[in-house]
Amino acid sequence: MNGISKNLIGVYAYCTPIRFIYQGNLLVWGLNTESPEVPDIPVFNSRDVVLEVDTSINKTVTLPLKYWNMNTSGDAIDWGDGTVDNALNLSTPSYSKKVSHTYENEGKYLITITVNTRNMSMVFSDSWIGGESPITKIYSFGNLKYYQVSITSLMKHLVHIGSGVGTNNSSNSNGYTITNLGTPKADSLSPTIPLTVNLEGVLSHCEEYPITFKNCYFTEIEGDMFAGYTKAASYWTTKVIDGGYLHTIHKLSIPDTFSSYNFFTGVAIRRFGELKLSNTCYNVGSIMYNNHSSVRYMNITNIGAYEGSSTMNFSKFTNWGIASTSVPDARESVISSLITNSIDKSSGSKATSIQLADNTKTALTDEEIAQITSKGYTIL
Amino acid sequence: MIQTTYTTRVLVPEEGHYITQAEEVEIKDRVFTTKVFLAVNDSPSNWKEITADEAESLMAAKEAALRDQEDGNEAN
Repeated sequence: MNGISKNLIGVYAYCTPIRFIYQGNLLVWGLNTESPEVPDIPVFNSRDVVLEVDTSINKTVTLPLKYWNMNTSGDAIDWGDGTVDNALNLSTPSYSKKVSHTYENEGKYLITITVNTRNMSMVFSDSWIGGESPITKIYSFGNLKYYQVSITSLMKHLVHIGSGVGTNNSSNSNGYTITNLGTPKADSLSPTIPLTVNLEGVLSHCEEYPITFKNCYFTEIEGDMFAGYTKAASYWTTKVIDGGYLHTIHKLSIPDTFSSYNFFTGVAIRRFGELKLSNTCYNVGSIMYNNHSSVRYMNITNIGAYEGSSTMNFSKFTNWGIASTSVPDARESVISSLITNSIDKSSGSKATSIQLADNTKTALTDEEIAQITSKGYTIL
Repeated sequence: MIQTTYTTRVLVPEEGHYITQAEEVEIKDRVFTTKVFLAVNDSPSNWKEITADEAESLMAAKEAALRDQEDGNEAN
């Protein structure tokens, strides 16, 4: 424990539960002694559900816990202010329980829910919450088997889903589902309100079908969802984003061992700020189910790294590099992807073919085309 | 002052034809185009002309192969 206060970014398994080290409003951190090259690993037990609340928003937090067998020995809620409700306090067995807590002071607190039964969900509704929810972050869903989180309009301050989400879930092919994240103010349900959520590392521990953000309202994702991914085995998923208003992804590094078809479904993404493709993504178009034409800015950082196929197919992205009012710098992303960032393959015995849409080819000058071909890429 | 001159060889098929790879490749990897900008380490001999009719037949087979591949992944 080093006593430094800063933002939590992940989960370190099987260490001291946060409730034993949390010091009032100060988030206390520990050093990751097993992997010192990866600093800033927070110390809490990955089997727990961990939330952050900011009581300057509302001093009362309500958790609608469902399908939770309260008789299970060891279940407990640590509210982070020295108050702990355990299974005995909650006494009556219930399959649907609204649990509230009111804090005395304003500040940020971590709520740690220790769950021994693995069947629980949180289905928030405005009528249950009764007021603006102070929940700002979900760090972990813990060791739950079935978990659904439905967000309501009173939870507009929840803008961070942490790297503990999507873990321990290989036995559940449905994964976690989060709906309505980023829901705008109740009096202004407009998808045009920009809202950035931080999903850094949300897929860092994932295996098959880790999580689905379904019909969410956020428009931008910051933080690389695969940050910290270390799985060596090959996994596959689909529909991590399923519907909603997402249009900008600031950074995404798809691991080489991870396959994804239709990773983005039903959203009109127009900007990939920094995109690292995996060895299994040479058919780039397959990462999206539809709406390829919405992508105008796509800054790929590793074209040429893939050795498994001699062709990379971008032909579905019919507007890649074509500027619009909202994406005036679209053309720069084609130049950076194909010229500046691409790996020089000109000394190889075999050229790599790159299929581009007609619009994208037209946007390139003769000199730019020549620069691309001089790096060992045949343009189709 | 350093001056660099780039040159690109461009392949364009006869009317009513497409260009595709000369070598045998898996159908899902076969490409069809009407213009090829050759890489410096590529050769015109790596490409061949086919008729539009032949290309359309192969395109349909490619689509089917890609659909099968995606169905197989979803079944996993």
